[in-house]
Amino acid sequence: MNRLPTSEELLASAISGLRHAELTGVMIGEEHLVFGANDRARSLLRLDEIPAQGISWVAMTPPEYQGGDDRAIVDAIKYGVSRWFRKEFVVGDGERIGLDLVVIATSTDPFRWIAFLREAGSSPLPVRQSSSQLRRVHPSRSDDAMFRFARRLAGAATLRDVVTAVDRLAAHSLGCAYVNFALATEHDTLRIHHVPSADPLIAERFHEIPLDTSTLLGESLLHDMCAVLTIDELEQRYPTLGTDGRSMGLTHLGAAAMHTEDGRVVGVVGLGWRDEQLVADLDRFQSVADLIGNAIDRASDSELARSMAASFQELLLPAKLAPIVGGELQVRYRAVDRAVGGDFYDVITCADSSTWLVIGDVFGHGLMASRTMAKVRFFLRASVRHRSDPSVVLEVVHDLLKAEDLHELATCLVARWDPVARELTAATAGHLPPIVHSDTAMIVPIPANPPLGVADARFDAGNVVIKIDQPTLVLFYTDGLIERRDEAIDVSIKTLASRLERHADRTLSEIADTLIAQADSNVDDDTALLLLSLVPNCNDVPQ
Amino acid sequence: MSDVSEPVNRFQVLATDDGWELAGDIDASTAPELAEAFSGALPASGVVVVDIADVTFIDSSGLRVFVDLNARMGSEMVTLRSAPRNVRRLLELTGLSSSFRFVETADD
Repeated sequence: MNRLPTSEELLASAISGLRHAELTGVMIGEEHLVFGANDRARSLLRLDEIPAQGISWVAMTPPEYQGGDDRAIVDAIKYGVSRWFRKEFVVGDGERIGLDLVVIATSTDPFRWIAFLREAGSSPLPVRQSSSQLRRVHPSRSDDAMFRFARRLAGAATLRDVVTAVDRLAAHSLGCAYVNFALATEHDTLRIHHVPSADPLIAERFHEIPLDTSTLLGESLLHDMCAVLTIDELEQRYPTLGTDGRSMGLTHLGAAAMHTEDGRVVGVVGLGWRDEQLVADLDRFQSVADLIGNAIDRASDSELARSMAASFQELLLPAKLAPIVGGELQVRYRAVDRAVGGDFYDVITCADSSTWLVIGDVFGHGLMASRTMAKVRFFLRASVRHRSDPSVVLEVVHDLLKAEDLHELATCLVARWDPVARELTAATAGHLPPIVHSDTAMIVPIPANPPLGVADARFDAGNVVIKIDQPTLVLFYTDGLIERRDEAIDVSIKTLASRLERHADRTLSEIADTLIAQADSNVDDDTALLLLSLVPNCNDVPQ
Repeated sequence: MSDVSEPVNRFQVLATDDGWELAGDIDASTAPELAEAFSGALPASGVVVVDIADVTFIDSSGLRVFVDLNARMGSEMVTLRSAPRNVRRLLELTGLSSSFRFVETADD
């Protein structure tokens, strides 16, 4: 199938390539600085005799590889990250140096990027065929168990899922009594992951072992082997090991290096059998090991991509909120574990004592959603500086977003609080209506513009002005706070309004906590709320 | 695969002469399938009708797919047939109702 990769998939592959690579170099690119940087590199390397145009990477790239750079840049602009690609540089005497590169965009306008280089085809561990001097035993079991195991592993999203699947099904599909797997750490040790059903005493004793050839696990990983030994052979070959296998009643022990789809070794799986008749043949053992290796690789990549996107999102939300003249503010944000949403908020205080309040929701999830969110927030911050009309601000942001032609969409509610006029002026780009509470809770209908970024959309819906004559609560929120599939959306919003009314006499922080806690935890969407308490300054009230 | 729990309102997409017929929940998990269906060739008439009578839920991932289809059509708008009240209301709230043409039955 010729599907385009998602940015998460590209990022995962970039990260996985980086994690296992011995990096040769890192390049950071900012287009307009490249020539200056090249000049400096020239004088630093005493290469002044090279013509003043500087060092030309393009000239060093043979024609058959020039398309690769362009494609990577297009990828990076489009997805934030490129595919790994190979290229060669021609150096002084016509010699060619091969490199693998991946380009990650750090900003689109101006285009900035960072590229990681590794030696072409470098692999972190020696890859060798299964050792033949080790014993091979041949019984077999039904393939049904294997099939179920593979299916279960395919759904594993975290390392814990993998461990659980191994616990339930690996032992069954290989007929063994004992199973664990081990991953190499950065400190030349093997970290052993025991399955939950493992003997707790063994699990405690074998937590981390040195990564060398003094153990079956270590040797299998370092020499990329798959082997099964009798307990006698084991004790003979690895004399420093204790007799735990024997005391557990095991007759055979095996280990196999686990590979990823592209042939990298990610760790080693260890097994023990109590019955010679059940000992798996090496091919089957190796297949199971590779199934686990693949699942671990995918799980750690997606965990990494998720946690990167989550930290990105956290970085993009304001860390500190400025005080508001004539008001108080509480914000809450609840992330979901399995995906990164695109909810955002912002509070911008201006020199004229007015405050801008923003809440929004990017259409989509993951890193790309974070990128759109960052853009919308920065565009908003820039455009409120010289404007006081929320609907105009939204239109400006809409135009800026549309101009990039990346089909990024976001709903957004923007309001400007003017403490002197005691007015809250609000405009919306397809976002959920705010709820205002003074005596009773009221949903404030605002004529809706389409979401930011929609092609051919007209922004002519205008503002709504809310007069604040008495202490008032204002609630902005995203759909995670109301999303109920079995209920009409207006009913859900009304329910939220009555919830606000019910808790209105509590402190602002308590109300915010209560509302976010009541958000349906089944909803697989992040949730943000912004709760404002406005108190008109009595001294200003004309008598 | 009976051990995998299915959502209550299973998503379905069916190609018709003038567009598509959809049913079930359109959310982050089903929107990619819809996007793939919509990425196919558009009817030669230039008029695209999407019957959404049996659509039970749409979230922003689903709306996005409709907005993208609309963008592909250029100046022509996508026609939504038999939009359930809740879907129509969501389009109003999100300011998107003027981006689509609504018709009630197949005879319109």
